[in-house]
Amino acid sequence: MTPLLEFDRVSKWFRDTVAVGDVSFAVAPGVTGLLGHNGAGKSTAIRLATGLARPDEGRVLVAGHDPRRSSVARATIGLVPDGDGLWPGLSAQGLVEACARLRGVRDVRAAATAALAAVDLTEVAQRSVAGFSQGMRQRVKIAQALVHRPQLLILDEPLNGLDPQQRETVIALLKRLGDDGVATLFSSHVLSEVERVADRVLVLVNGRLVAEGSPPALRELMDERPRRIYVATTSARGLASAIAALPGVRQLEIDGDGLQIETEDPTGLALALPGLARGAGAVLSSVEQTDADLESIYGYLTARARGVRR
Amino acid sequence: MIVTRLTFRALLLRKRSLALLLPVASVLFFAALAIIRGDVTPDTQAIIVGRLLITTVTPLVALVLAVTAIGDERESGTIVYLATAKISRLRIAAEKTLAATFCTLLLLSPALITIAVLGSHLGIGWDNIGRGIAATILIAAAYVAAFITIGLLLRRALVAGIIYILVWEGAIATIAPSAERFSLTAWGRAISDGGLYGITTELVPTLAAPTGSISLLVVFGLAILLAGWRLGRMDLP
Repeated sequence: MTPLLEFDRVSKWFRDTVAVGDVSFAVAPGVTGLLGHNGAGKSTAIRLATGLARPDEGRVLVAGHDPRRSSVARATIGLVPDGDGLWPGLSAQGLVEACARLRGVRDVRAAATAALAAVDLTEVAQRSVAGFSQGMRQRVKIAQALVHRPQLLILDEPLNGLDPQQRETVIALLKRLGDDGVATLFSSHVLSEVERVADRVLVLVNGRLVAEGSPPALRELMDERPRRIYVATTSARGLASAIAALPGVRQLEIDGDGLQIETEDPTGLALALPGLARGAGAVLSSVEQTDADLESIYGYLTARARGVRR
Repeated sequence: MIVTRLTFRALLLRKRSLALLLPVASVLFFAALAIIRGDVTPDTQAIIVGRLLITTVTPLVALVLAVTAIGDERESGTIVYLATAKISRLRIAAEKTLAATFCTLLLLSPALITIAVLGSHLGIGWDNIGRGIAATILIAAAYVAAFITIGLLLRRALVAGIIYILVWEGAIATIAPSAERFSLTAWGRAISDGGLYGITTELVPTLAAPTGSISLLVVFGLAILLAGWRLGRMDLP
């Protein structure tokens, strides 16, 4: 089956800066998160995916077609851009209807009404978008992207500017669209958002795809990275020298009444710790891993890729 | 024609567009002055239409609206909604040109009414008045198309356009007779001035009105094609 979006060794550079470098991936139905810090190349990847920018190397295909040339490809895409701009002097209904006309929708009014209902804007549909808050404008942008029922929905930082309740609405909408078989690619630099919504995550660092997979698969990356463990004890200094001698311990800091340990062998540490504590006359009050969330994995991947030149 | 409607609406809502009524008012001012002073001759008509309306006011209004038609969409980011729509980039360029031309003519309409009144006062006949209006319409369309293309090719299109209007159209093409073959203004004046009875010879371009009309239409068509091609090639924000 042809993927709805395919990057095949795609590179894009601006002068001597590589914005996207040799990136390959495919997006199928479901929700895919494009994760990366600011300047990682997410927006450039989205512009390439929607045909707004041309790759310098490699090729981008949407439903098997070049999005810069094919109207079939463009009809497949619904885009929520990062920018805040909307045409002035239009109501929300008018703006979404205009976008429906641009995309060749037949029943423009009904499609616009349904799209605005999907983002909870029915009550303000006749109001001018000029007076809308950032959150409302963001939802209008999502509505215009949904108006022609796209098979591939691409959203650039869609949760920016939304209050917690609006975020929940949009997150629920993205999940529902993913469940309905719409291939949804959304970018974010907030890991918790991606972790909540996405079935699959693509991690971009400095324009390179450094990891991809499901959030649990990314968690498995923990197996190959050093772990940070905090040990709360009555005798941190006494225990420190014994732990420092263990194989795999890369770093050790005394932190108040505890020890902050970075080790490549967390299992060995866990097995050795009770004996070492007894030997040092220390009482252990707690042992916890401090970098078990996706944020830490992302930090690790970012640091690992820091050597990648742009 | 949704792109035309959106662009037309956006252009008219801009305060900058309303400021363009100021140069348009200069046509009214000089026409009123000529009538008050009782100095209405075919030369007066030729100067107001050929030198003021066609050479200065129309290019200026067309320049600002053409550059705004594309520039504002690029700045605000709304151009991505057009570029990712089902329509071709050539159609986007053509519809934007149409919208900016309509808007230019709307803003010029007080001046067009004025030259009609002036022509009627002079008794030059409706065919000659019609030539002046047709010349303004054609030159407005050609300038808009050309400036939209320049807006897609250059970063500082407004500055480049002003230099072009002042240096080439306003000075060189007016002084050097051979330059009129490559002057949009001269082509426009060939349509408006050619049939005026009693006009002094130095004000009349040597080109024939059909040559001027065809040349302006060719510029209009080629500029739209070039703008569509450029829009298709360039990266958008």
